[in-house]
Amino acid sequence: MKKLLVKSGETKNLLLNSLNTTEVNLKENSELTMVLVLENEFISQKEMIFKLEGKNANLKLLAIIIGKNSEKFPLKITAIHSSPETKSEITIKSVLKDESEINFEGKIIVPKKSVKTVSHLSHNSLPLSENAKTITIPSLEIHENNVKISHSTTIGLINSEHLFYLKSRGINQETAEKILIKAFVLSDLKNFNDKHFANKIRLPNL
Amino acid sequence: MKITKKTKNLIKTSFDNYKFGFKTETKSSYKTPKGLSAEKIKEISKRKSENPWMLDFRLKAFETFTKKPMPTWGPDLTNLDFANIHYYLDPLTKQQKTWDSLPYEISNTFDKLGVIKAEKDFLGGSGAQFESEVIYHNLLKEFQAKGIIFESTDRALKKYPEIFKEYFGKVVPFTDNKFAALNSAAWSGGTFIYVPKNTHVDMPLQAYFRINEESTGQFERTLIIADEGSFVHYIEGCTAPTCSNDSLHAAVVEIIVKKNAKVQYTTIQNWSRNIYNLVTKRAFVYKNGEMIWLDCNLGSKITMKYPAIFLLEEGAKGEVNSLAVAGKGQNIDAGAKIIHAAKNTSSKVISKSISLQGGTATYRGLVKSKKSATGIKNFVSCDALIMDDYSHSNTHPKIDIPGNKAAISHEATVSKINEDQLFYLKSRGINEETAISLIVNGFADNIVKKFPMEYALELSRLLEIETSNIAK
Repeated sequence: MKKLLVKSGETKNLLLNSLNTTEVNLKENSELTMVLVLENEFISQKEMIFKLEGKNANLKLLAIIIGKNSEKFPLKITAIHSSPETKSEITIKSVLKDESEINFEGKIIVPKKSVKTVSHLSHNSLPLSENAKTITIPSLEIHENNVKISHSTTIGLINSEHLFYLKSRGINQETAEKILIKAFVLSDLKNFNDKHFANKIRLPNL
Repeated sequence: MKITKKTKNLIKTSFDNYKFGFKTETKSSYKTPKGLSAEKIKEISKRKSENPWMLDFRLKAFETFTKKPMPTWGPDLTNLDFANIHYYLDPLTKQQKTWDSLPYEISNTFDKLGVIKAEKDFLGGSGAQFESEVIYHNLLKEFQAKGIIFESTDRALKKYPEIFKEYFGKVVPFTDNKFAALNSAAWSGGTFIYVPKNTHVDMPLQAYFRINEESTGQFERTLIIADEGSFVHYIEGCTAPTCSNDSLHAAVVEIIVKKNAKVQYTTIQNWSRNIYNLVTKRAFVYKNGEMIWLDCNLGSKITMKYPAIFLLEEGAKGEVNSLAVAGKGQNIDAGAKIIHAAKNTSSKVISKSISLQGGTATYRGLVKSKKSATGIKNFVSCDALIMDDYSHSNTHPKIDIPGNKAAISHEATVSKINEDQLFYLKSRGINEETAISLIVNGFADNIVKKFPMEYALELSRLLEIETSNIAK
């Protein structure tokens, strides 16, 4: 297992194209913003464990998964808020073509005494073919009440009204779909220090 | 309502002709000795004078029960001792409770609820119980005319063996899980309802009506069949805390909603805090049919209950509304299971849980679809309120959707009482205890208001009582 340490007071911005099972420790007053763009299948389950171990530690993670053919993406992300006053925002966006599959397990753990924890976990999946598959389990284990925790999941279709809007402006079906998929994937980027990442993210040919 | 002497005599004579069901040879109270075995099952079946195919079913289920392992997930069931339970009690000699023999928490709750003396007498087996039999008797006449069957499961097995054989054990087979197997082996009591085509049952049917029969039991088995185009609403349980000498309640509820029919099944569970409540409830819904589970879990030591809806044909709809309050020493593990096995089906799950005084409330759900089930829609919302810093809340929803023709969304929040809301109320002169009750009732409101009015009012009051200890 790889280890990553975000030291006390440190701010780190990371843009990665591959993932190994990693344990990340965030110390007091640290801030980690991570954007993952993953388009190669996982041979086995990949796991990321984030331990927010110091007050005011702040985690922002955006994981973009683009699947094709029969690629499988078994991904497990756990955030343990072991210190009070920590924040995490974890967003997974998966776009699945052909027979690709995502199997996502997300877990937010807030032990007793970790007061004023704020955490949000979301997974939005956009399957593009009838043979794609989404399996997702966003779990919460909360043992402290002075917290604000939420999670959300959507599995959806390309919005037909949005598609119509673009086509009625002379954009063909294929291009319109690509625009909407790109919008789907990058819509939350403004929450992730987009000035830093905006021009550096290379999405594969959708 | 007070019964006149004339009415009492009239009822007494009509009851002399009223058949209670199967007759037992002995009049004394009978209980099987503790533990379960093939021999004891044969004894139970013999006492009930059952059809041999049912005995065969029970024995096969018992074999499955012995082989199946305990669940490896969920609350800790290690203290559940199967060998230390009486599996059968002769229903005609139910133990009567006196007011004074009730544990303090229960009698205290009744006082706080403002239960009138007549209802207190109900616990002693007199007065109101008598009246409910009268209601039931009159209902039966009306139902007979319409072809509606509303019986205890034991009696229905004898009177309508063909319907039984066709549907019994088909929605929840005994191989489903360990507790369904146990229920299938040792079941006794429960409700059987059949509603003929295009018939609407106007008033909610309640197990409460059949007090002298075994409507509640540790292994009750309920089967409801709503034929095409029909409607029925069934309510079980009551808001008043229910005492039981039994430590395990493993019920099974099977519901079949045929084409264009609609069934609502409302449960209010407030078992005393020593009970393991492990229930398997499932509905099969056919074309354009609709199933609504309205589930309220207030009591028990451990509850594991996941009302399930299998949407089997196009246009079928399902809804699960669940409220759970987990207090001191309680672990309520509830949720919903929705299977979309056909096109253009839709489902909705709304779950609200409140944990306090060290209790644990968990939402465990599954939304799954078949690849061929295109055009499906699902929405799940589970919100949890943790009232103090030593209670727990967990959420484990699993969503398994193949294909790209489904619109699925899930959202959940966990938090404490909103301080701004509390401050707002207190600054208007409302004391903290009342303010907390108001906020909790507001939180649970969209579930509570779905209950029939009398239940909604009592539920609201119970929530106030439960959460009143939290105020500093």
